[in-house]
Amino acid sequence: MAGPPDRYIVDACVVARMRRMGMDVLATFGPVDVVPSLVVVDELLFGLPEHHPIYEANVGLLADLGDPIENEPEIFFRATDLLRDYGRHHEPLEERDAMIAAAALVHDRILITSNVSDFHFIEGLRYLDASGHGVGDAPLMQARDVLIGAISSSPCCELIRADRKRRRSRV
Amino acid sequence: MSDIDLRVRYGVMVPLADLARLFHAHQRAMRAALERRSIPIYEIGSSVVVPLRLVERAFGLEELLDDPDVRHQAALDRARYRLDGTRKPLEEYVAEVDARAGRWKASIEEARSVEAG
Repeated sequence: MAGPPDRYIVDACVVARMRRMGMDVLATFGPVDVVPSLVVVDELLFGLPEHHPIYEANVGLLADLGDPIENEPEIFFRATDLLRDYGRHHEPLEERDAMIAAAALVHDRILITSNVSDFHFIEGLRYLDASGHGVGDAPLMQARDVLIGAISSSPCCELIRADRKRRRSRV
Repeated sequence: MSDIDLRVRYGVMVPLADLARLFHAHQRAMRAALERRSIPIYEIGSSVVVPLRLVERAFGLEELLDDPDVRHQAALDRARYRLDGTRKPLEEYVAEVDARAGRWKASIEEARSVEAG
Protein backbone atom coordinates (compact mmCIF):
# COMPACT_ATOMS: atom_id res chain seq x y z
CA MET A 1 0.00 0.00 0.00
CA ALA A 2 1.34 3.42 -0.92
CA GLY A 3 2.20 5.73 1.99
CA PRO A 4 1.28 9.38 2.18
CA PRO A 5 2.60 11.46 -0.73
CA ASP A 6 6.03 13.02 -0.30
CA ARG A 7 6.15 16.64 0.80
CA TYR A 8 8.92 19.08 -0.07
CA ILE A 9 10.67 22.22 1.11
CA VAL A 10 12.44 24.33 -1.47
CA ASP A 11 15.74 26.18 -1.09
CA ALA A 12 16.08 29.83 -2.16
CA CYS A 13 18.64 28.97 -4.85
CA VAL A 14 16.04 26.87 -6.69
CA VAL A 15 13.40 29.63 -6.66
CA ALA A 16 15.98 32.19 -7.77
CA ARG A 17 16.99 29.95 -10.66
CA MET A 18 13.33 29.44 -11.64
CA ARG A 19 12.96 33.22 -11.79
CA ARG A 20 16.07 33.65 -13.91
CA MET A 21 14.92 30.95 -16.34
CA GLY A 22 11.27 32.00 -16.40
CA MET A 23 10.04 28.65 -15.03
CA ASP A 24 6.77 28.31 -13.12
CA VAL A 25 5.97 26.28 -10.02
CA LEU A 26 3.72 23.68 -11.62
CA ALA A 27 6.07 22.92 -14.53
CA THR A 28 9.08 22.69 -12.22
CA PHE A 29 7.63 20.57 -9.43
CA GLY A 30 4.37 19.11 -10.72
CA PRO A 31 1.22 19.00 -8.56
CA VAL A 32 2.95 18.29 -5.25
CA ASP A 33 3.12 19.92 -1.83
CA VAL A 34 6.12 22.31 -1.92
CA VAL A 35 6.70 25.07 0.63
CA PRO A 36 9.53 27.47 1.45
CA SER A 37 10.56 28.33 5.00
CA LEU A 38 10.65 31.87 6.38
CA VAL A 39 14.43 31.79 6.06
CA VAL A 40 14.08 30.99 2.35
CA VAL A 41 11.52 33.78 1.87
CA ASP A 42 13.85 36.23 3.62
CA GLU A 43 16.73 35.13 1.42
CA LEU A 44 14.67 35.84 -1.70
CA LEU A 45 13.26 39.23 -0.71
CA PHE A 46 15.53 40.98 1.81
CA GLY A 47 17.52 43.87 0.38
CA LEU A 48 15.41 44.30 -2.74
CA PRO A 49 13.19 47.36 -3.28
CA GLU A 50 9.51 46.30 -3.10
CA HIS A 51 8.60 47.19 -6.66
CA HIS A 52 11.76 45.91 -8.22
CA PRO A 53 11.11 43.30 -10.96
CA ILE A 54 13.21 40.69 -9.13
CA TYR A 55 11.23 41.24 -5.92
CA GLU A 56 7.91 41.00 -7.76
CA ALA A 57 8.96 37.87 -9.68
CA ASN A 58 10.16 36.18 -6.46
CA VAL A 59 6.92 37.09 -4.68
CA GLY A 60 4.95 35.69 -7.63
CA LEU A 61 6.73 32.34 -7.34
CA LEU A 62 6.38 32.28 -3.54
CA ALA A 63 2.64 32.98 -3.86
CA ASP A 64 2.28 29.80 -5.93
CA LEU A 65 4.00 27.69 -3.25
CA GLY A 66 2.48 26.61 0.06
CA ASP A 67 2.62 28.80 3.17
CA PRO A 68 6.14 29.24 4.55
CA ILE A 69 7.27 27.15 7.51
CA GLU A 70 7.74 29.44 10.51
CA ASN A 71 10.93 29.52 12.59
CA GLU A 72 9.47 27.27 15.27
CA PRO A 73 11.39 26.52 18.52
CA GLU A 74 11.81 22.86 17.54
CA ILE A 75 13.42 23.91 14.26
CA PHE A 76 15.67 26.37 16.07
CA PHE A 77 16.89 23.71 18.53
CA ARG A 78 17.42 21.19 15.74
CA ALA A 79 19.40 23.79 13.80
CA THR A 80 21.55 24.42 16.88
CA ASP A 81 22.34 20.69 16.98
CA LEU A 82 23.18 20.66 13.27
CA LEU A 83 25.56 23.61 13.65
CA ARG A 84 27.30 21.79 16.49
CA ASP A 85 27.51 18.48 14.64
CA TYR A 86 28.40 19.72 11.15
CA GLY A 87 30.05 23.10 11.73
CA ARG A 88 33.43 21.70 10.72
CA HIS A 89 32.55 20.70 7.20
CA HIS A 90 35.01 22.03 4.60
CA GLU A 91 32.36 24.60 3.66
CA PRO A 92 31.08 25.15 7.21
CA LEU A 93 27.33 24.78 7.71
CA GLU A 94 25.81 28.26 7.89
CA GLU A 95 22.95 29.39 10.12
CA ARG A 96 20.51 29.81 7.24
CA ASP A 97 21.26 26.37 5.82
CA ALA A 98 21.00 24.83 9.29
CA MET A 99 17.51 26.37 9.69
CA ILE A 100 16.41 25.09 6.26
CA ALA A 101 17.74 21.57 6.90
CA ALA A 102 16.19 21.56 10.38
CA ALA A 103 12.81 22.61 8.94
CA ALA A 104 13.04 19.71 6.46
CA LEU A 105 13.93 17.22 9.21
CA VAL A 106 11.37 18.43 11.75
CA HIS A 107 8.54 18.55 9.19
CA ASP A 108 9.64 15.34 7.43
CA ARG A 109 9.98 17.07 4.06
CA ILE A 110 12.38 16.46 1.20
CA LEU A 111 14.69 19.41 0.57
CA ILE A 112 14.93 20.60 -3.04
CA THR A 113 18.25 22.38 -3.53
CA SER A 114 20.84 23.03 -6.18
CA ASN A 115 23.50 23.60 -3.51
CA VAL A 116 24.01 19.97 -2.60
CA SER A 117 27.49 20.66 -1.24
CA ASP A 118 25.87 22.67 1.58
CA PHE A 119 23.68 19.77 2.75
CA HIS A 120 24.93 16.38 1.55
CA PHE A 121 26.66 15.58 4.87
CA ILE A 122 23.58 15.99 7.10
CA GLU A 123 22.68 12.49 8.15
CA GLY A 124 19.11 11.44 7.45
CA LEU A 125 18.25 14.57 5.46
CA ARG A 126 16.33 13.60 2.32
CA TYR A 127 17.09 15.89 -0.60
CA LEU A 128 16.68 16.31 -4.34
CA ASP A 129 19.47 17.78 -6.44
CA ALA A 130 17.87 20.44 -8.65
CA SER A 131 21.09 21.63 -10.30
CA GLY A 132 20.91 21.70 -14.07
CA HIS A 133 17.14 21.25 -14.14
CA GLY A 134 15.73 23.54 -16.79
CA VAL A 135 12.90 24.63 -19.03
CA GLY A 136 11.27 21.72 -20.86
CA ASP A 137 12.59 19.07 -18.46
CA ALA A 138 10.18 16.71 -16.69
CA PRO A 139 9.12 17.93 -13.23
CA LEU A 140 11.94 17.53 -10.74
CA MET A 141 10.19 14.83 -8.73
CA GLN A 142 10.04 12.62 -11.83
CA ALA A 143 13.45 13.56 -13.18
CA ARG A 144 15.56 13.11 -10.04
CA ASP A 145 15.96 10.51 -7.31
CA VAL A 146 15.69 11.37 -3.64
CA LEU A 147 19.10 11.18 -1.95
CA ILE A 148 19.83 10.75 1.74
CA GLY A 149 22.46 12.82 3.52
CA ALA A 150 25.49 11.09 5.04
CA ILE A 151 29.04 11.94 6.05
CA SER A 152 31.04 10.99 2.98
CA SER A 153 34.54 9.63 2.66
CA SER A 154 35.57 12.65 0.58
CA PRO A 155 38.01 15.27 1.92
CA CYS A 156 35.21 17.82 2.50
CA CYS A 157 33.89 15.69 5.39
CA GLU A 158 37.30 14.90 6.87
CA LEU A 159 37.05 17.16 9.94
CA ILE A 160 33.54 15.92 10.78
CA ARG A 161 34.82 12.34 10.62
CA ALA A 162 37.71 13.26 12.89
CA ASP A 163 35.34 14.92 15.40
CA ARG A 164 33.14 11.84 15.48
CA LYS A 165 36.14 9.60 16.03
CA ARG A 166 37.36 11.79 18.89
CA ARG A 167 33.95 11.77 20.55
CA ARG A 168 33.68 8.00 20.24
CA SER A 169 37.10 7.47 21.74
CA ARG A 170 36.13 9.65 24.76
CA VAL A 171 33.11 7.43 25.34
CA MET B 1 43.58 30.17 14.23
CA SER B 2 43.34 27.45 11.59
CA ASP B 3 42.05 27.91 8.07
CA ILE B 4 38.72 26.23 8.93
CA ASP B 5 38.31 28.27 12.13
CA LEU B 6 38.80 31.47 10.16
CA ARG B 7 36.19 30.43 7.61
CA VAL B 8 33.75 29.49 10.37
CA ARG B 9 34.30 32.91 11.95
CA TYR B 10 34.46 35.18 8.92
CA GLY B 11 33.36 33.26 5.81
CA VAL B 12 35.48 33.82 2.70
CA MET B 13 39.12 34.78 3.30
CA VAL B 14 41.19 36.42 0.59
CA PRO B 15 44.99 36.50 0.24
CA LEU B 16 46.51 39.90 0.92
CA ALA B 17 48.61 39.50 -2.23
CA ASP B 18 45.47 39.16 -4.40
CA LEU B 19 43.93 42.19 -2.76
CA ALA B 20 47.05 44.26 -3.37
CA ARG B 21 46.99 43.21 -7.03
CA LEU B 22 43.34 44.28 -7.32
CA PHE B 23 44.20 47.76 -6.05
CA HIS B 24 47.49 47.95 -7.97
CA ALA B 25 49.20 48.47 -4.63
CA HIS B 26 52.26 47.05 -2.93
CA GLN B 27 51.44 44.44 -0.29
CA ARG B 28 53.03 46.58 2.42
CA ALA B 29 50.83 49.57 1.53
CA MET B 30 47.76 47.35 1.36
CA ARG B 31 48.58 45.87 4.75
CA ALA B 32 48.95 49.33 6.29
CA ALA B 33 45.64 50.46 4.78
CA LEU B 34 43.88 47.42 6.25
CA GLU B 35 45.49 47.91 9.65
CA ARG B 36 44.37 51.55 9.71
CA ARG B 37 40.81 50.27 9.24
CA SER B 38 41.26 47.68 12.02
CA ILE B 39 40.78 44.76 9.65
CA PRO B 40 42.32 41.61 11.17
CA ILE B 41 45.16 40.06 9.17
CA TYR B 42 46.04 36.38 9.60
CA GLU B 43 48.97 34.24 8.57
CA ILE B 44 48.09 30.71 7.45
CA GLY B 45 51.24 28.80 6.62
CA SER B 46 53.05 30.93 4.10
CA SER B 47 50.05 33.02 3.01
CA VAL B 48 48.57 36.14 4.57
CA VAL B 49 44.78 36.36 4.42
CA VAL B 50 42.04 38.81 5.39
CA PRO B 51 38.23 38.50 5.70
CA LEU B 52 36.75 39.45 2.32
CA ARG B 53 33.51 40.92 3.64
CA LEU B 54 35.35 43.25 6.02
CA VAL B 55 37.48 44.49 3.15
CA GLU B 56 34.37 45.07 1.04
CA ARG B 57 32.74 47.04 3.83
CA ALA B 58 35.82 49.06 4.70
CA PHE B 59 36.34 50.19 1.13
CA GLY B 60 32.64 50.43 0.21
CA LEU B 61 33.10 47.99 -2.67
CA GLU B 62 29.60 46.55 -2.35
CA GLU B 63 28.12 50.03 -2.78
CA LEU B 64 29.98 50.48 -6.06
CA LEU B 65 28.00 47.71 -7.67
CA ASP B 66 24.91 48.88 -9.47
CA ASP B 67 23.46 45.47 -10.21
CA PRO B 68 20.38 44.96 -7.97
CA ASP B 69 21.00 41.22 -7.67
CA VAL B 70 24.53 41.83 -6.42
CA ARG B 71 23.30 44.48 -3.96
CA HIS B 72 20.69 42.00 -2.80
CA GLN B 73 23.46 39.48 -2.11
CA ALA B 74 25.40 42.16 -0.23
CA ALA B 75 22.32 42.84 1.93
CA LEU B 76 22.04 39.12 2.66
CA ASP B 77 25.66 39.09 3.72
CA ARG B 78 24.94 41.92 6.15
CA ALA B 79 22.01 39.87 7.46
CA ARG B 80 24.34 36.99 8.31
CA TYR B 81 27.42 38.81 9.53
CA ARG B 82 27.97 41.40 12.23
CA LEU B 83 29.81 44.65 11.61
CA ASP B 84 33.02 43.13 13.00
CA GLY B 85 32.80 40.48 10.26
CA THR B 86 31.93 37.57 12.51
CA ARG B 87 28.88 35.42 11.86
CA LYS B 88 25.76 36.30 13.79
CA PRO B 89 24.77 33.63 16.29
CA LEU B 90 21.70 31.61 15.30
CA GLU B 91 19.34 33.34 17.75
CA GLU B 92 20.29 36.80 16.48
CA TYR B 93 19.96 35.74 12.83
CA VAL B 94 16.56 34.09 13.40
CA ALA B 95 15.23 37.03 15.45
CA GLU B 96 16.07 39.39 12.59
CA VAL B 97 14.45 37.11 10.00
CA ASP B 98 11.32 36.95 12.17
CA ALA B 99 11.25 40.72 12.55
CA ARG B 100 11.17 41.15 8.77
CA ALA B 101 8.77 38.28 8.06
CA GLY B 102 5.55 40.31 8.39
CA ARG B 103 6.45 42.38 5.32
CA TRP B 104 7.19 39.31 3.21
CA LYS B 105 3.99 37.53 4.24
CA ALA B 106 1.94 40.63 3.38
CA SER B 107 3.54 40.79 -0.08
CA ILE B 108 2.83 37.09 -0.71
CA GLU B 109 -0.78 37.44 0.43
CA GLU B 110 -1.23 40.49 -1.78
CA ALA B 111 0.13 38.60 -4.80
CA ARG B 112 -2.23 35.70 -4.07
CA SER B 113 -5.25 37.97 -3.84
CA VAL B 114 -4.30 39.65 -7.13
CA GLU B 115 -3.95 36.22 -8.78
CA ALA B 116 -7.32 35.16 -7.39
CA GLY B 117 -8.82 38.29 -8.96
